[in-house]
Amino acid sequence: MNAQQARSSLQKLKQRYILLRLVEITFLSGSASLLAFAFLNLLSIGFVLKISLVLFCGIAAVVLASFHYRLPRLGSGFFTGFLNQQFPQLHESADLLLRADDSLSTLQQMQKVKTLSLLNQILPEVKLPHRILQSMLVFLISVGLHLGLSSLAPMSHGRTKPTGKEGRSHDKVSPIYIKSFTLLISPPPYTHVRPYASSDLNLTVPEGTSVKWRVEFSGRPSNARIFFSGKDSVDFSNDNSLTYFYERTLQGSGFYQMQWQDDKKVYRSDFYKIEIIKDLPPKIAVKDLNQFTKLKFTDKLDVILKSELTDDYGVSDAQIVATVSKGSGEGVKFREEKLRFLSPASFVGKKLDATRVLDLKKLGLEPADELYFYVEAWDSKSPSPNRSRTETFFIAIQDTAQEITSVDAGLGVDLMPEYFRSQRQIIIDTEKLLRDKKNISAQQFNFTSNELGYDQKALRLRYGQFLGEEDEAGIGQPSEEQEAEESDPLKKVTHQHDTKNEHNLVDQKSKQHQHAAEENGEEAKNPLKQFVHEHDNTEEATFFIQSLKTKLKAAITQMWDAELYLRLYTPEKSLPYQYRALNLLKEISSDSRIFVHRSGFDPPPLKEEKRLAADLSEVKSQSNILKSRAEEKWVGVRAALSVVERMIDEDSVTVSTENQKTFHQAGQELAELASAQPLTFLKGLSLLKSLSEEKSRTTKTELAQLRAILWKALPVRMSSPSQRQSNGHVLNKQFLIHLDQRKYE
Amino acid sequence: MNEFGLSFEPLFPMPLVFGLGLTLFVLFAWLEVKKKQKLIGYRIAALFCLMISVIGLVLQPRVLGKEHQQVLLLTPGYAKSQADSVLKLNPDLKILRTQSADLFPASEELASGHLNAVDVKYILGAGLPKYALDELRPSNYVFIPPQRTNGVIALNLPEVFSGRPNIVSGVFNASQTTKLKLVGPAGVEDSTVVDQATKSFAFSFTPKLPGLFIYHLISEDKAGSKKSERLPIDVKSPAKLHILFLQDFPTVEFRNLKNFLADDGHSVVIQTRTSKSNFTEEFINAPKVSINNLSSRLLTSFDLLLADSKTINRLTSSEKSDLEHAVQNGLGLVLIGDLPAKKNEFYSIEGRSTSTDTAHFQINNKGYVLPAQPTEVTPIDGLTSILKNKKRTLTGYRFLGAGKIGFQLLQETYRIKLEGNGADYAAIWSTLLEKVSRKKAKNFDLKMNTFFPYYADEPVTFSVVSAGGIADAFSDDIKIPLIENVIINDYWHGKTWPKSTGWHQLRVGDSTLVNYFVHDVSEWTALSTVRMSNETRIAQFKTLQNHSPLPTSNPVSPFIFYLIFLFSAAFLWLAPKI
Repeated sequence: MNAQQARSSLQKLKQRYILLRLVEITFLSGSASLLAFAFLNLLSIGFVLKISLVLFCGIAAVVLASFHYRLPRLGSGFFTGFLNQQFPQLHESADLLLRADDSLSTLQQMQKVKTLSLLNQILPEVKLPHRILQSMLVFLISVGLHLGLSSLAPMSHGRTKPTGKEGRSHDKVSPIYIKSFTLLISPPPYTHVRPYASSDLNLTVPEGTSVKWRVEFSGRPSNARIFFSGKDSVDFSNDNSLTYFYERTLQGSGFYQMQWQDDKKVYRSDFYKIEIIKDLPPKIAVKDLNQFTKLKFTDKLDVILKSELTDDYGVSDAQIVATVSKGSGEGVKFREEKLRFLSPASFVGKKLDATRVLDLKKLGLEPADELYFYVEAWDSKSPSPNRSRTETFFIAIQDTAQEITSVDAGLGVDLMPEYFRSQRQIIIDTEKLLRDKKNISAQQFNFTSNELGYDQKALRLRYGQFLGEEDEAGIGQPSEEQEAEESDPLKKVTHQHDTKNEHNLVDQKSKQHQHAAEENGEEAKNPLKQFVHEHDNTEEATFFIQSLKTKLKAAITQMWDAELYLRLYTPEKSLPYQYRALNLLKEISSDSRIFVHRSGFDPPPLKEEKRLAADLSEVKSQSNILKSRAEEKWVGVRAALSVVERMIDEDSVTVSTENQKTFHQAGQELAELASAQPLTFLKGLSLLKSLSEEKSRTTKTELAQLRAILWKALPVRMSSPSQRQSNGHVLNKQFLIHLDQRKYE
Repeated sequence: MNEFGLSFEPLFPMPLVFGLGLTLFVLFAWLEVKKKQKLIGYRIAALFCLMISVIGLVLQPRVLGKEHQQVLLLTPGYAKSQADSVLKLNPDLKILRTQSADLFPASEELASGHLNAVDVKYILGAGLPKYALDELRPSNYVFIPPQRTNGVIALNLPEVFSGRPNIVSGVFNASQTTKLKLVGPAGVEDSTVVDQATKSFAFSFTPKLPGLFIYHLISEDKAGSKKSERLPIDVKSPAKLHILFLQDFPTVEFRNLKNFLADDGHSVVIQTRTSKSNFTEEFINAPKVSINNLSSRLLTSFDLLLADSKTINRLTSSEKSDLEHAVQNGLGLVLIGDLPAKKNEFYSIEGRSTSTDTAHFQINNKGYVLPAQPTEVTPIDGLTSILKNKKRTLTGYRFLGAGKIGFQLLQETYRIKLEGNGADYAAIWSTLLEKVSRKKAKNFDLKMNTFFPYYADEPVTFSVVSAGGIADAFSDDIKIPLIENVIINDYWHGKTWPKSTGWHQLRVGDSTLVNYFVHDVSEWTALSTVRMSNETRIAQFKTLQNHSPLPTSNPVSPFIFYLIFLFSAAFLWLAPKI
């Protein structure tokens, strides 16, 4: 061994020594920290302070021990001294190894050579001083003490601060999770289903059910909330314990998800469906009765109406709405009646058989009259019950009146409607007057003409009522005579009609007038009432649709003119107007009945002034650039479906980060569908969520499920043409050329 | 076989055997000479015989026989009783069997490459695949197919497009009542019941997405035995059209048709006349271009022109000329509404007036009544009907050069759509527009010559028609050499050998590609068996041209060589002692 090697060996000794001492110091430091932690645990001090003190103890132990062993200032001289001390055969000459030969005397050099040779023998026997075993023992004792003292700590902690901040510091050790949950489901009272508790987070409940979530967490989450259909979020309420509540009345299907968080992480539950069972309207079946029934007047006019009423929670009421249609032509009249079923007396139960005998005679049906009726029923849903009704049934009594008229025309029985006869009668009388003109005096002629004018006015006033006009509209103060004339015929017509048949304007009108009459007593309080008529706009306050109203208006206008000429003693001029009025009334009468149960489109009137005017000033050339957006929909779902199909094909169950992004986008698109149809799509949403957020591996079964759901989510589109392809081979071209040549040969 | 009628089946390469034998002979002869043995001449002769015998044993020589031997070839599914019967009639037949055929007494397995060296007289069983039949020496063999095979025995899988009803049809052989189901990604698409017989089936399915999908054809018989076979479907996306609408006045019919096409992503350009000199133009999914003049350049950029006859009639003569030229070159023209009154125009459709202005017709087994033009189109040659009822053609087209001129006599077809029968509305228009529109020119056309199903390690042949360019074919990105047809220019053939199951791709040029799926041999067995049988049946009637009788060769008995070896060795041992 030369001097260089000796110095290197001493350096290695130094490194070994430092390592041994560091191990020893680590054990000691650990022991100090553990003991400090155990003791501090017994004291009620903050967590941060506790950790700081523990760290301080540990670091202090390291620093003290290091200085104690003089580790920072350790030089090679320490080891030469140690060697001299441990090995007397070196004759205290180990220091010579560190010195250069130049600075040594000859003797020292000889001694150095001797020491070098000895060092070679000594080095394997060198045992560096350390106390690792002792420090390890101390460490083990400290661990024991720590465990012993820590076991005491919770007891004192529980006694002192049961819900203090230390509790939370303990919670941080493990993630917060849902320990238990209960759903208290209270269906609406009308369903007669008692409230119950459920442990299934998926909900299938009747509409309007109140659900109370009671969730117990393992710790105290900082932000516990519940998301409905991925949009609406609400916080759980909490009564200062670990149990959280939320209550909601459910009106629509969707899904929900719970979310909570601790200091480290946000936790989300799976998606759970909310499926609402809609309260269906009652079902009504009319038994043993055709929709169209025709009876002879001589038949037994009692019709038995049997109805079967069913509802999912119970029928609360039902009735028959019958409309009697009388007359024909312009004199068609309607009367509506609401008839109760005779049995059962009260409506309770899910399935009921209701019966009523319709006595057509009692209902006032005569030959040629018709009865329209339907059954309507309500269920027990609250606050607004569901209503349903049947189709309209028709019962007609065969018209025998026409035969009587034709056979016994001379009897003078006038079964024709009064209005029709009135206009016709005026025409007949006017024509008769014109024929008799030569035979009667001018005075008589004028008188009769004036009388006819009066009749014409009375008739006009009747139709004015149909149109919502005032009784005296446009004719100033009525004379007593006129009033007397009007009261009789008009009353007969106007007050026969029903109140709630929307087509029965006469009755409505009369009711309004009755109502007005009843309020006469109040007129003194409001003097304007006698001057102001409180109808709505007279132009609009009718029950006819626009086209019918227009015809009626036109007829009244014609009647005005007819009356004018009659009053001017020129009945010949009045006749054309009378005929026109009659024709219009005929048209109205033929239309009137079919409007009973008809609702249709009434187009806005054409602007006659613009029509066929050839005005193209507003017509200009336009150019628009548009883009259809059909391809931009469901991009995420399409991409996810392709990924899933590829994974299935390749037998791959590993989800890459890129695919996770695709699944995330698909999940966002699917959420919209899942809220509308949770039963179909919620499972897919859960799978997408787990694949995009948590799991990097999946199973083939899950992939197959996901594929099926994503496929269902895509809309079916109408097939459109596709451009076909062809090859431009020279033979194809030659074929076409020769084909054309052959064609012209 | 050489001119001496000798052939060899060497155990080791012949040059090696001869080289080694000669070397050894020279060595031993030199040693004999050096030792100066007695009877040196005889000893060298004996040594020569010894070496010849050893070489003979290794080379296994065969000598030409006087008569060739005919072969009975047994293939999978053969009936043993039939084989016995054939052998009873022809006891001299040599029996060969393919690797997958069942064992038969005294039969040899057909070795690779021997098909062209045997004279096959009978083939029993399923037969041979096409590629093996190509190897077979032409001969009038008798083919006896196996008993009826249960399962799908024919399958027709046309090109499948997303968003439209597609039909997969076939024939199923059932020994008992069997329920067939086509199962897609979302579940059962269609199903049918096949009685105890051979029956055709057709399943309809509408893929919602383009891509490569695996459907399943599941058969379940009465006994509960279930079999599922993978049906690979390459769903293509419909290629979009560039369509020009010209209308003399706005109509609901045009508007609905425009919406139908635009919603599906087609590029639609519409010009509607709103007054004598005013027009409304719409460019949907299309860039704005000037459409005031129907020039050749403009028409070239469209695949289809839909117009009413009034618009066509008011075109200038140069526009008409350009339009005719464009149609001659592939543009599709569809006339909507009245057919043009003039009969000598290029776009005229021959017909006569009728009193019927409504049409009763059926679409997808549903009856409809719609107003129709009171015209009866004359069924001349070249006129193709697309939709017709008992009385007349309602929708059709005729050819003009490379293009077509179509007509639609039905009016107010939007009613069908508004009634909620969108699929039927689409069927009325899609077929017409697709048939009439310009075909997209492809540089290459790739056609599979091997039919479904494909199996690993079996050849898949294809042909390529080129529009003039040199075809570069790739199978899964590996370049495949092509052979050009001797007679037809730009008509190429290629062959590839897929190594693994799953999807594979053939590609020619940049964009012409075909995806095909390679199955496991346990799948579609009935279909492949029937296909093999049919191919074998067709090949049995190949005429023999320039066919000389196949010479037979008999192996020289190794016993002779053994005796030579024995005597030579004995002489060499005994000679010094003599």
